[in-house]
Amino acid sequence: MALIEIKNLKKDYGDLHVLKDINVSVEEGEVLVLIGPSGSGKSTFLRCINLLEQPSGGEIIYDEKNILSRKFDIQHYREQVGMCFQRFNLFPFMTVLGNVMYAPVHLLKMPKEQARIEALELLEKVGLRDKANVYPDTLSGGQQQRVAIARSLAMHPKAILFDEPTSALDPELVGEVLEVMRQLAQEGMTMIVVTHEMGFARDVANKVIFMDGGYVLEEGTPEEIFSHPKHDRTKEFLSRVLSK
Amino acid sequence: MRVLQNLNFEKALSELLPKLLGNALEIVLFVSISSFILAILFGFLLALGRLSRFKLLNGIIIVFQEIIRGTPLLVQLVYIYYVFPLFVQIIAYFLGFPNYTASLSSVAAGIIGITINYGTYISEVIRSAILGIDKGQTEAALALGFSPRQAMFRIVIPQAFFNSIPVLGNYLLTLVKDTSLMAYITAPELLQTTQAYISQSFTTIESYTIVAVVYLVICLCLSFILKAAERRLCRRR
Repeated sequence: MALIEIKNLKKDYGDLHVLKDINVSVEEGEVLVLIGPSGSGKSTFLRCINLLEQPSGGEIIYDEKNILSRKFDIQHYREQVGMCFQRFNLFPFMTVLGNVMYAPVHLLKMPKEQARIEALELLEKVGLRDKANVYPDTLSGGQQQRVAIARSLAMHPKAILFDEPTSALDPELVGEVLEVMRQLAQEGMTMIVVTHEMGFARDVANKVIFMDGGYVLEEGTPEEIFSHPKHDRTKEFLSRVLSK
Repeated sequence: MRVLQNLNFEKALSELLPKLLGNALEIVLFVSISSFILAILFGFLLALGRLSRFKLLNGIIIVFQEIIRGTPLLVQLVYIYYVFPLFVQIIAYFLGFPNYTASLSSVAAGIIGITINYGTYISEVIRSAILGIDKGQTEAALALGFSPRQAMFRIVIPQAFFNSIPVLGNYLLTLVKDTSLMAYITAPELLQTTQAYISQSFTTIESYTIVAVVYLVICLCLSFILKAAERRLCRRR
C-alpha cells in the first residue's frame, strides 16, 4: 500500500501546461528522487504534493484519502508531510531553537519544555546544537538548511519533500546537507527529493524519476536510470550533467 | 530699530515658557501619543482591508484613502470640529430630538482627525511592508501546517511591522509637529498658547522663537529615542 499515490496529475497556468498526466506512487520508507532539466515541472510537481500549488486535475491519494477532495483537512495533512525549500525560509525573527520548536508548540500543542528538549535533540542530530540560541542570519547556507530539516522533523512527519535543498548552497556546503539527508534515508524516512545531485540520487534513492516537458519520461531504480537509460532524452540529460 | 530695542526675552521666557511646558505640552504629548497608537491600529485595519479578497471592501478603502490624501489635514480638523457636530445635530433632529446640541472638544477632534489622516498614510506603509515579506515565509509556515491566517498573523505581520519601524518613527516626528494645526480649532496646545500670549504682551519675535525652540527640542529628543530604539531592535535580530 503506497503512502502517497499520484494519479493523472495535471497543472496548468492558463494555456501553459506544466504537468501533464503524472502517475507516481511512493511507498512508506522509500526515497524517491526527481531529476530532469530545469522547467521540466519537477518543483511544481513537488509543490502540488503538499498543495502549495493547486493541481488542475487528477488525484493525490494519501493514507487512502484523496487530498484534493473538498472536505480534506489540508493543515493536518501538511503537519504530516514536511517540506524543505531551496532558500530554507527560516523565520528570521526567531532563534534557531525558536524556529524548530515553534510549530510543535503551536500546532501539536506540545508543552514548551518537551518541545525544547526535542528541538535540542534534533539540532544535535543535524550537528547544530551549539547554534540553538543564535539567529538564522548568522548561519551559513548549509547550516540554515540543516536547521530547516530539523524544523520539519520537529513535527514528526510521515514524509518530507525536498525542493532542490542544495541548489542555493556554495559547493563546499552541499556535502553537510546531503549527509543529514542520507542519515534520514537510512532511518527509514519517506522522502521525495528534487535535486541536481546525481551522486546522491544514485546512492540514496530507491526510485528515480526522470521528468521532461511535464511528463514522467522514465522511472526506475538508480541502476536502471543511470546505467541503462532507455529514453533518448534521459541519455542526453545524463550525459550533460554527469560530464560536468 | 524700535523693534530690536524693545526685545525682552527675559520677560517672555518667564511668562510664556511655564505655560508652554505645563498644560500646552501635556496636550501635545497626549494627542501625539494617543493618536499615533490609534493611527497604527487604524492603518493596520485599513491595510488588512486592502489586502483582503473582498472587492467591495477594497474599493471603499481606496475611495476613503483618496479623499483623506486629497484634502489637507487642517481642513479635515476644521471639518471634524465644526461641521461634524452639526451633522449629528441634523440627524438627531430627524430622529426626534430637536433640542439636542452636539459638540466635540477640540482635543478629541484633534485626536480623531490626526488618527484618520495618519492612519491612512500608515496603512500604505504597513501594506507595502506586508507585501514586501518574502513569499517563502508564508510557504514555510503553510508547509508546517499553519493556516493561511496563522501564517499571516504569526509569521508575516510581525516581520512586516518590524521592518516598518523606521518609517513609522518618521511619521511620529511629523505627527508631533502637525499637532500645531490644532491651534486653529482652539485647542490650547503650544502654538495657540503662544498666540494668546502674544496678543496680550506683543512679544512677537520672542514668543514665536521660544515656541519654535520648544518644538525643536521635543523633536530632537524624540529622534534620539527613536534611533536608540531602532538600534536596540536591530541588535536583537
